[in-house]
Formats: sequence, C-alpha cells, structure tokens
Amino acid sequence: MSVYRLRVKCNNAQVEVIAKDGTVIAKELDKYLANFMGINTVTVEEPKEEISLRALAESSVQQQQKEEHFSSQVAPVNNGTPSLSEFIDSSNGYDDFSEFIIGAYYIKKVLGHEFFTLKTLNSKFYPATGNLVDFSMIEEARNRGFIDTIEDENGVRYCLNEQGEAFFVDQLRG
Amino acid sequence: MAEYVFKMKKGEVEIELSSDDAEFVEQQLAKWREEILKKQG
Repeated sequence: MSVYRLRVKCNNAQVEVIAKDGTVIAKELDKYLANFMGINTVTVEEPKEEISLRALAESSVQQQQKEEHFSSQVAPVNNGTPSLSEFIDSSNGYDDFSEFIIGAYYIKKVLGHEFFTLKTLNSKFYPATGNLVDFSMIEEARNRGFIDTIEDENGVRYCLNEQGEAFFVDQLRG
Repeated sequence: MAEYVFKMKKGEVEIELSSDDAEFVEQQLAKWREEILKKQG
C-alpha cells in the first residue's frame, strides 16, 4: 500500500500529514496551489490597489482627527502613509494572531478600508510578515468578537468591529 | 520501493510532497507545472 506524506514549513513551524489515501493530500495540495497562485495574483495587482487605498486613506485621515497618533508614532512613507510592515513594527504584536489584528486595524484605520477579504488582507500581510492569515485565524477573531462577517453578492468580507479596535488600542498599540 | 519527492517553496512557505506512488506524484507535479506555466503566460 502506498504512503503519501505532505510536509509544510513556514518560518519555524512545521506540519506533517501522512496518509494512506492520496485524496486527502491532493486536496490539501490544491489549497496550497491556489494560495501560491493567489499570492502571485495579488502581488501583481498590488500597485493598482495601493493607489486607490492610499487616496482613501488620505481622505479618511483628514476626516478622523482621532487617528492622528499614527502620523506621530510611525515613520511616514509614501505620502504620509506607513507601510504595514512599519505599522506592525511600531505596534506591540506578540504572535501571529495579534499581528493579524494589527493588519485588520491598519486596513481599516490607516488605509481607510472598512472591509477586507482574506485575499486583500494577505496581499498586505504576506509581504509585511512572510506569513499568511488563514480561516482559523478569522474564526478565532470571530469567536473573540473582534470581527464581523458580511456576506452579500460581492462574496464574503470581514470588518474589524469596535471590540476588535478596542483590543488593538488597549493591547497592541505601540 | 522508490520514493518520489516534490518540493515547492515561496517566500517562507515550503511544501514537500513525498510518496512511493509515482503516478500520484506525477499528477500533482503536472498540476503545479500547468498552473505555473499558465501564470507565466
């Protein structure tokens, strides 16, 4: 009987799946294939998206004076908008989950984007951290009451809610 | 029995598939190759 082994390494973490049936492994591989190809797609699209998000961020910053602490705490680049990498560095993230919340806060408050999809989040998160946010992290944030899920004709989107923002402000803000 | 290993790496993420089922590994490899070439094109 054949043995199928799939090993996934990311930074210092490693997961290994051993199966006697290749179907499970093939399904897992398909997910990674989509993910790898997805990363390419969003990376290519990044410059276009960055421009529109930056424009949104500029108008948002003008309207929301309470967000002024960003410009004073984080070294500004690109017309005053810090990169996610800089934003994470200036915050007090202590694990992947807290960095995910920082990323969600960054998209909402710095870039002025109310909603995010897993794809748009990872298009920022992966280049900044080398890690990917997956559904387990979304699920944890949902269970802890930090994000809301919006499902409509545009698909599934997420939004960092007031509780999530408070978690950032209380625990993670630099 | 021979073991076939197929590794993919992107950024910090590294995936390694290994099996003694040559046909399975070949199928998976073909799938990845096809997607990558599609992307390049």
